[in-house]
Amino acid sequence: MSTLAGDIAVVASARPRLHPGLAVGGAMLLLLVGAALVGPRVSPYNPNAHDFEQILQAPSAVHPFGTDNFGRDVLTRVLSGAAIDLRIGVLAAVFPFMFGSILGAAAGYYGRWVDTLVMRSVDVFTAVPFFVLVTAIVAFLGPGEVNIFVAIGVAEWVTYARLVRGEVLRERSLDYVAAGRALGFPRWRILLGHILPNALPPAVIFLTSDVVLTILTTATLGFLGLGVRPPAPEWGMMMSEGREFLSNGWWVATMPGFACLYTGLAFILLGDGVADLLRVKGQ
Amino acid sequence: MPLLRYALRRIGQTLPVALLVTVLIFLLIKLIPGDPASAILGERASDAAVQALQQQWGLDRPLPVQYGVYLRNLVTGDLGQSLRYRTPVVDLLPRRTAVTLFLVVYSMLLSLLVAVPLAMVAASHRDRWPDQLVRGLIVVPLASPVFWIGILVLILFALTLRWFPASGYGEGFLGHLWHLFLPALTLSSFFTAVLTRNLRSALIDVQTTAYVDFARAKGLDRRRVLFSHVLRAALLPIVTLIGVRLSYTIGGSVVVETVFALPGLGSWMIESIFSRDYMVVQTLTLAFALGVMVINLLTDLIYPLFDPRVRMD
Amino acid sequence: MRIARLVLALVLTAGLMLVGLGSMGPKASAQQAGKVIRFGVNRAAENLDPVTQDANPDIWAFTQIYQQLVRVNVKGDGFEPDLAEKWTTSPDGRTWTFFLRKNARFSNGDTVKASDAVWSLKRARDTKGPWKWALEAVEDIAAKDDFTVVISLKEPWAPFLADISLFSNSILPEKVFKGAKDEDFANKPVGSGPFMLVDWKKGEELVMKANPHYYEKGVPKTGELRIRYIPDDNSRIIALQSGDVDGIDYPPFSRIEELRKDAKLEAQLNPSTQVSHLSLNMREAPLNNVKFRQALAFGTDRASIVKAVCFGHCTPATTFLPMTTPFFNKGSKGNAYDLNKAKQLLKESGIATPLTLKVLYRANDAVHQPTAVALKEMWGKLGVNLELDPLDRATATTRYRANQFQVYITSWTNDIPDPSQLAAYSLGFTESQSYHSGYQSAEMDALLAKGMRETNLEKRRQVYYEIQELALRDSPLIWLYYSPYTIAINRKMKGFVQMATGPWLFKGVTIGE
Repeated sequence: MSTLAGDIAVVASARPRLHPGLAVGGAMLLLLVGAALVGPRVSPYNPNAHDFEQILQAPSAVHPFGTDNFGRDVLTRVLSGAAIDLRIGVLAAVFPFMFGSILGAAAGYYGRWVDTLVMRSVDVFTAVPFFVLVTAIVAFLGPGEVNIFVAIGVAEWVTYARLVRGEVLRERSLDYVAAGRALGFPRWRILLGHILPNALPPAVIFLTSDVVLTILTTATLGFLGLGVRPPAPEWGMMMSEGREFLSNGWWVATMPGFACLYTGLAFILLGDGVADLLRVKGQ
Repeated sequence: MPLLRYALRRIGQTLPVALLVTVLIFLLIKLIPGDPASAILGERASDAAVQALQQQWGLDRPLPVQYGVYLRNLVTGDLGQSLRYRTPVVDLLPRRTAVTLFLVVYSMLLSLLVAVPLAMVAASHRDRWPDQLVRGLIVVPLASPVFWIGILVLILFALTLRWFPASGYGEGFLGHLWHLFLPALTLSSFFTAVLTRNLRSALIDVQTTAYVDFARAKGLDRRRVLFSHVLRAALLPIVTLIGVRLSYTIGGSVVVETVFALPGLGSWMIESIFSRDYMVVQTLTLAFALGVMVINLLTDLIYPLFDPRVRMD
Repeated sequence: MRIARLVLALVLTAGLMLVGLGSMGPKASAQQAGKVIRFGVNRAAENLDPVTQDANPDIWAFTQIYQQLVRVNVKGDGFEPDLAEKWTTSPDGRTWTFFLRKNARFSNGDTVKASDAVWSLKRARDTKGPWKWALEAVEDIAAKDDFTVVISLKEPWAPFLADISLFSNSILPEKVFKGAKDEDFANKPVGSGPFMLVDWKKGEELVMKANPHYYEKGVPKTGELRIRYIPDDNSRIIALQSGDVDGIDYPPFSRIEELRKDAKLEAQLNPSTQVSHLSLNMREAPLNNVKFRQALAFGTDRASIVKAVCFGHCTPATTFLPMTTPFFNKGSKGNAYDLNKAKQLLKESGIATPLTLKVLYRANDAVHQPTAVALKEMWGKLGVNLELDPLDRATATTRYRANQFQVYITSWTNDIPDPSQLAAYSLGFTESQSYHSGYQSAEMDALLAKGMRETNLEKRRQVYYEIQELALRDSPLIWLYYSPYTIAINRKMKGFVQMATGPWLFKGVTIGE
């Protein structure tokens, strides 16, 4: 990509536009992790303690996020749930990302039987609707965090594989690849060193929304009755259980919803920053 | 024609893949604990009644035998009976399929209608306030569960404003359009957000490549450049995304179908898994698998049309 | 940019058109409203065969279509004529004679004859269904003439009238159903009741119209009934509030107060024959220890469960019988919450704490989950760590039936106004292994047998009082609360009745303006 225009593009985009996304997103996440670690310890409430005198209290000084239908403090539960949701979100998205990207890149670059093997496997997995597959696997393995990771991972890697393969196919035909081969670089070096960094940005962008998607999938599994085991304060379960009280206790479902939004925004900003970084470096 | 050869080869690979899918789902469903006789007859049925029903449905035979029976019926065109509804699956299929197809196509159209202009606005005003606004708004559907959005949409449009009905499929084409607007809107929200982000990113990427600069240097005005060159190249990841997300959308329609009480395929599929209505699950999976594979094939074939640099190997 | 603006304009125009379309909609459906009853339900009917189905949605749907010889009255404490105008018992109590009305007709026009009754009852008796027990005391069923049915019993049977009124003993036309396949019983009911099935979109909507040959003049008052499946609670309530439906079932307890405040709506808490309870698997330690079970029973704060689950709209349970059942012991205190007594019993039991118990329940059930969460907190005070095990319906049911559980949350509804059904089922081992607890007691079995045969009312009452006390002492189950049926209807819908045993009566419903 060493055309004059390309050089200008590199210089032009090397301005501090990278920093806001990474900085803000990163800061938001750090804040969240900090709150998740410190909050439950500092809080005077136990996230699972029932108090039937305090059912469905509106947000107040004593309960900043109100209480739920068992009288449990919603703020404490949201902070305690952060650990669960971050775990689920990150792990259940990162593993399929790594696994799927590698397979997709190999399929796109090496082609022929590698491509056939990987893509037909992708076909098999995409042939089953995502939610059906996840539901069937969770129903099979039983409820619980680990089983949810596995189920989502098994269903989600295909997206990355397809995405990365598409990008690699496109990159592969560009001039610099032929140039590299002419210079005698081995194929795997070209793949890892040059093609992959250019092909990954769409996958990375997707990964950042995928983290949140995983949290939402867990919430929907809760809606269908297959979520994390109660009384765990997982945000999705809280939203699903709390939707019964939208009219007389809107905070029960909305506060974890805001937590989801906050986390989502953090990851997306972070992702944009990372994607910008990758885009520039690749050139 | 290399394209034709590729297409034929892919079609030839479809059959074994479809078969593999049926085996995967067959095993998965049968291995989930719980059997349809207990699920359907319920807690209070006698053991004798449960056993009798299992025998009647051939559920007490070994798994390979059951799979064999399933394949044999399939070849002769017998798609089995819904154990829950005591009705042949083919009788229940048309209406359910119509509902879901209508919903999915409707929502994809809404997504495209909203995402394309939004992405174009954002990309052409990069980092200025329109871009920031679009990017900010997008986070909301990206980070909210679909059932959440559905309920809020319901409360706002069906209850408070009374513009649209709260549930059901309606009668007649216009009736369907009216009844399905809210569900389609809900279902489209996530995809709109994803599409906008990806399209915006692709538009930005392509804007900085050589041939765009070259075209502009030739004196073509910005809008034409944007539309004819940029958009076409940027559509590549969209096409990929649509192909992949279609599967997700149809399965994800289960939530929308439940919240809006739509008798579609998504909710039918999930309900059938929960009640172990095996034949329904098998048939739907197979139909769906074939459909998705066709779409995948089409998307793979469309690639080189958009970008002739992509070789088909 | 021009293109973007153009597209945006298109979208807005389309949206406005849709809204315009929409504003035509409500008027169209309002016109229809007076002639149709639209009722939203949380579970769809699947199969309308009276003999083999036990799910409420099915029962409450086919009871609009079918009739029995005798029917339970609305309050659930007596019987009324249905297809039989009157009936007599022989002096030895072993022969019952039913005289059918002569003007009852099926929806296909055929007259209801004694031969139909005989055929239907024989089918109910011989099919391996969940209601076989209702006719187990029957020796023979015969038609003396076209409108007289004679049923001879093996011995005098106290709850016989209750048994014969059970909906599984509906009368079907022999001509239509003799030799028919399961599918026909399930999908094409033909009955003599006020409504008949006209259209059925499975999992979506059941459409019934008036039976033109129904003998009661002017009934049903509204000619069309549509039962619509709207599974999501919020959506169902919104459908009612926005006028899409005229009534709904099972609004959650947490919404009752809010619905009451709406002047257009009426929230009903209808007396029921329902009791929610826990089955304890007595086959293994520590639940095989009676003092341990009693400790758990006394350690259950039912009032708090009622607050958490029913928002105060239920009644804490005392004995095993729902409080509307005949011979319910109003004076019994049950194993009422007493933490100190519970701890004492725990000590006496010799079981070491802390220990872990698992509670199995059907996931996604609006009441079971909060019950389990509440129990976990309560029993935690006794040193019992309750682990929640929510499983989907099919898995949970299979595990429960195979006795693979320790504690199981479930509930019961009496289908007949008589204590014998529940007593036999939950305490008598033969039918269900005592609600799968494994409880088997010679003393209890003797009492149960006596209860079925004692025809003297006062003596029978005493027997059932003893049964209730013994059940509390042995505690194979822990009874939690009695809950009413929740219903919400538009005030324009008048004449809606729900029987204590559950079924709805739509035949007297009118929808006003």
